[in-house]
Amino acid sequence: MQKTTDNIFILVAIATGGTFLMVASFILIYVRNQNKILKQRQELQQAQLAHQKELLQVVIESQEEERKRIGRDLHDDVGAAISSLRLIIEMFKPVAMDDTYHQFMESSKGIIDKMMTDVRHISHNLSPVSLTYYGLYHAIEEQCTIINQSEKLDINLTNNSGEFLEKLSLPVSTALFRVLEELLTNTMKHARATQSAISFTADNDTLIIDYTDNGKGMDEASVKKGMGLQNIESRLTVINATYTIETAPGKGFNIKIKYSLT
Amino acid sequence: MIYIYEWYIAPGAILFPLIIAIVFYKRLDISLKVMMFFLVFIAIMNTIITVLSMKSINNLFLVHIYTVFEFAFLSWFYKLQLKGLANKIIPVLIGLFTLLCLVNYFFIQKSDQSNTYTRSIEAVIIIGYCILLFSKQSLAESGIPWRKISVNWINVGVLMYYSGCFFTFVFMNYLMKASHLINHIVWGAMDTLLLFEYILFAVGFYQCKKQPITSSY
Repeated sequence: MQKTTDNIFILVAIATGGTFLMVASFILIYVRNQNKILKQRQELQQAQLAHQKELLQVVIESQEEERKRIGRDLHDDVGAAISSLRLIIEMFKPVAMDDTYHQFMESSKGIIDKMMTDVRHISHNLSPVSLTYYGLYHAIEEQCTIINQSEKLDINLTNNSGEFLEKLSLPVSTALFRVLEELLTNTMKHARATQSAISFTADNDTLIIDYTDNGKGMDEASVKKGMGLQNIESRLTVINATYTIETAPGKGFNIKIKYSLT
Repeated sequence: MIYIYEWYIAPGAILFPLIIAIVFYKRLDISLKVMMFFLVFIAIMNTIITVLSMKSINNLFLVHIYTVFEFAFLSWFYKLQLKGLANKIIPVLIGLFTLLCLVNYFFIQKSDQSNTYTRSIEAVIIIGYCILLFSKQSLAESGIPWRKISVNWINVGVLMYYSGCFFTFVFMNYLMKASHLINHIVWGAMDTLLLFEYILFAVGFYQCKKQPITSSY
């Protein structure tokens, strides 16, 4: 057998270099593939999120449409029927107009007037007409006036956003109105607050809504559990608005909503 | 210059990952803490080996001891990472490998020789661990970018070092008989790989820093 003349040291150096190169290539290819897979996964998640958002938007839009229809029907049909009933009762003139008749008339008219007011409130709550015709600020102002008059809560409303609110589209205004409505309802129902404040400010192309109450607050863990806050999140997600909540037991509740026009 | 690199710069680079690990100690999980203690062990052993070498005292017996602990530390790290069946197999492997090292030291490659048999087997097993971890990580759907995972950097460091040095481990006894020049080239290459491993370890430990919490609400 012929004796080999190979230099073992050179062979070791070549083998070491070769192995190192192979491993380094393997790692580079592996990392590149992993990043590619992650990117694809993220794109898929984004697409799923966008799809969910579209579905949510459709649900909210149809909900709004339904509320509008019910509100309009209540106002036009039920409201008109009640008005007619009031007229009929007023026109009714029996032969003997004694005290019993007068009492009956007064109590009937009282009940009918209350029904008319209730129907108007319900129809207004279902679909605030002022939102469509006068915009978000006016609709909220109207809502605040009603609450302030009830003396359940003292709301301080300020608008430092100039004409920003007029630039908002109707779906965005509706979403923000519903969010503020939900927040006011939560404050009155659960917070045991005496005062709350809503302020609108504008920072370049961003609208900032600051809502605060002096209620009992809550711990951060229970913030996301309520249906009300889930509705708020859904509505804000659909219009691409972000929000931050600051609250703690005994320290009131604050939410800062940011909506960018761009 | 080459002496400074071989004796001080490359082994001293261990301080780099070690300091980062100490800074982020509270954020390290158990496996990374094992890795940190492994680095402490390396630093101590390297110091002793260097001192003995400088005094021209045979330090090969320390390499035999070093191999046992090195394998144990790395195996424990991979045991914690791989989990599952590895939890049962790796402790057995550590026991068997320690036994093999003892047999090798007392009967086969005694203190006048480098432990090429056990060191090569160790490298093969560790490369196996690395591949298994790569395989496991490739199936994980964490959604976190590869570079943000500490263990990935450490695994790459280990794989590069043990695969790069594999042939040197195998032919160590031949290489020790070679000329000074050959020895310098070999040790220089090994030290470069070691330096590379420490840098990757440092990046891995650094990834344990607190991640900013981003929220949409």
